[in-house]
Amino acid sequence: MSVPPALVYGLTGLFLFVAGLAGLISCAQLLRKILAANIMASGVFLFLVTIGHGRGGVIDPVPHAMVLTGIVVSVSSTAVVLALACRVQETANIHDLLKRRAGGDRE
Amino acid sequence: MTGNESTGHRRGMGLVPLFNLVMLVALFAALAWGYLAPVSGSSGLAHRVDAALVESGVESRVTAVLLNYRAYDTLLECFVLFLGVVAVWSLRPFRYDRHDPSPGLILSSLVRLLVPLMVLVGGYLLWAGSNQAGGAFQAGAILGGAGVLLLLTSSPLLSALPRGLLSCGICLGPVFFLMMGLAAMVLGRDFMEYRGEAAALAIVALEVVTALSIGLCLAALFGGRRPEAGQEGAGKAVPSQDGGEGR
Amino acid sequence: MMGLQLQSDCWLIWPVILPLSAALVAFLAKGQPRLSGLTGALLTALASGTLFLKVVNHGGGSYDLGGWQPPLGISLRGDGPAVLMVLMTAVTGLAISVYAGGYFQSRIAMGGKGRRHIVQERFFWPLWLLLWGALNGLFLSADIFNMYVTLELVALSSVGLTALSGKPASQVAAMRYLLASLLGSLSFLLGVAFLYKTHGSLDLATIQAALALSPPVALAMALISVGLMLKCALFPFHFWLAPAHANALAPVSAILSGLVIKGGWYLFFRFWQGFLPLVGDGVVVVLAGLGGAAIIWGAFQAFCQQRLKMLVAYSTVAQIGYLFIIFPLLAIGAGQGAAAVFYFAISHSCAKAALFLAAGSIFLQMGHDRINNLDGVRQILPITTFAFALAGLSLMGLPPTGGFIAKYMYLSLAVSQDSWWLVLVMVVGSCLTAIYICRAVSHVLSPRMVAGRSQVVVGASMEWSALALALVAILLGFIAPLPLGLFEVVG
Repeated sequence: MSVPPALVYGLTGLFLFVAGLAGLISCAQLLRKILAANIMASGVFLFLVTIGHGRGGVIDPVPHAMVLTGIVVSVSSTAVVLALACRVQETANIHDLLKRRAGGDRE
Repeated sequence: MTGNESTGHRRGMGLVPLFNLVMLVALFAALAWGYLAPVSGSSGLAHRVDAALVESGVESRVTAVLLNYRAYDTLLECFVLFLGVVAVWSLRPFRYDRHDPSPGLILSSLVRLLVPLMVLVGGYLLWAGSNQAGGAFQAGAILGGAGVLLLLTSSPLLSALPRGLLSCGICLGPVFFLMMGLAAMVLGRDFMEYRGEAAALAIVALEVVTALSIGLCLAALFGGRRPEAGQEGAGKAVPSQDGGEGR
Repeated sequence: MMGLQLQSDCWLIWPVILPLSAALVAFLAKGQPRLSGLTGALLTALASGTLFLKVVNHGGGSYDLGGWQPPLGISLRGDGPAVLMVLMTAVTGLAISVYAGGYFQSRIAMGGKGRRHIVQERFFWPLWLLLWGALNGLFLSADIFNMYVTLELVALSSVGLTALSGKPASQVAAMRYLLASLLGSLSFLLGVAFLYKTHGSLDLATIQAALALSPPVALAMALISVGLMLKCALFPFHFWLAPAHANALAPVSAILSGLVIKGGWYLFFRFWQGFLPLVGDGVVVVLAGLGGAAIIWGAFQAFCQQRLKMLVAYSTVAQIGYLFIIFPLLAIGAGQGAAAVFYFAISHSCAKAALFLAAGSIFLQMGHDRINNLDGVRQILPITTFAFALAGLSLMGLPPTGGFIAKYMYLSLAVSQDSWWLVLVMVVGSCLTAIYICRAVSHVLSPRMVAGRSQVVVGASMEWSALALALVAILLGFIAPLPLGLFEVVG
């Protein structure tokens, strides 16, 4: 008995969603969190593509269109979150530098 | 710094990761249970899409969904990209701006080779979208990639771009989409109602314009900050995409 | 379909299209963002008002975009609750726009660091108008995938607005907000995928007509609910709200607390309307329990805050709870529960926006918002202080305000259903609200004089727009029958 490929894709999509969630919750660094959110998004998209398949061989184009729209939305929010992360990191770096310099002066 | 602190923090308590793991496994099991449960025959929208395909003006079913049946979603999606650029540009500029070292011979000659090719591929994808896989978004992504390459090498093409053109180009997609929708209303139809021959024309026009605009938006997003007056380069992108329009 | 009806229902798209177009204009008109922004806000408010009048006079309707009927295409639905929310956004949004015009004028006139405020204003208007259009789109949408897209538009523009002030604190807060919001959207989208898998349709009405409890449907509802709870910061998910709302610019805080929160909650309500008959009492009580926890915890946190804007932000955490404790009461009384909760949402939106606007004016005038050092503000900003106190009255739920009517309806429903624990939570919550509002008001109204800026920097339009919103919150108590009748209008 062979496993239908759609099943594998669907379960992989769900697994990616959960794995991304794990990363989003447990990773401390911003960049990893952002990557984890992207993995979650990929999981959802894979799942969406899968549900377009497999109804008697007819391929449903609506989930495909949803994935295309979803990808653009996800690209846009990833860009915003990365740009924000750069600013946050820069501020943290400056803080760090100032703190270290102040510490050095005291010594 | 923050990373070190947090790993030390995490090593301190071993129970929390275990609890997380159990919860995540349970979540996956629940999701899989929902996915594998038998569904009593709903057939999706495939048949309806096929039945209305003649009226939609394109042969590709995905394109018909994107630019005709659910064109409103696509309109809002163009606005999401536009919004992304506005949001990125609204952030405060970097305090310490690093100037990247010069790109080197290999990268710059590769770009000279690749960018025209990418424009060509983008044009092809645009054209292919009417009857097979492809379309405005795929073409836009390729054009955006070309823009990213140009940005990476801070190509002189970019500094030649007139200021103000970039803002207009970013707005172009949503503006054109809205205008086409309103034009249908002026002609006595519903908002964004395109049918038959007119639909074919409208969709081709929409695809070309949105592909250009999407390419520009993606490259501007990669730039990551607003282009300041007097500071050429970063954020400005993709002049050569006009070549893609000729196809 | 029916050509005549479509012609009349084209009013439904203008509240979405107009602000989006105005955002494009405001972005391109670099020299005059304020003029184009205010014009866009005025036009949007007019379009929303026209839509409201149409629905009041001729009943609700729906509009098939592109002329494709729902399972294939997307339609907009204008029923009573939807147009009420659109009108609420219009009234609050117009006042906030007027305030923002005065706010940026004052900030730019004060000078300070370079061109920072000019740049802020240049991006404020496009972001705010995009947010307004997205919110209207969300309220009117009848398609669950379209709801996802509008949710993302709302989230991204809110994050952009949050980060606009440029302070490190606001950027960190915006970051957390965006990550929480991304998580919420993805959970929502996965839920949408499950619903599409089982029902083969994206039209909410079609899905709800055929809804039956099965594993995928239960899962979809859980995913969608958790996603939307994250978006509207219900109790365990409230961690991102207070810093994001309190550290933003004054008009942005009002937008986020007054309007954006309602977007997520509105979708939650819409989904649960169809889902409520299917689930047992246990699930509903859990929802109400989360709401009750939010009321108590948010009020307690608000009481502990030292900064005025943080106090108002935590008060939002508490007030969100009231939007959720209604769910056990929805099943009874033929729509009274829905009327009560929408009434609460509307009066909270006006009152909370007024509070944040007033708090923003006080911040601008004094240069800080530490509650203990705000004595005597009323001598410098009498109108603003009055607006703050009035809005506080509505938040507490004292008669004759809109908040009172809503809470009275809640209480009578809870008593009629013998839900005494809900009564207890509401009474305790209201008392806590009264305590923390009085704590702030007693300082701003105190006769002692403290040193602040000698010159009054707060413009008249800022003071009066806050007062206008506070008056609307009071006035809602007198015109209660008018909006309540609208709940009978179906799309």
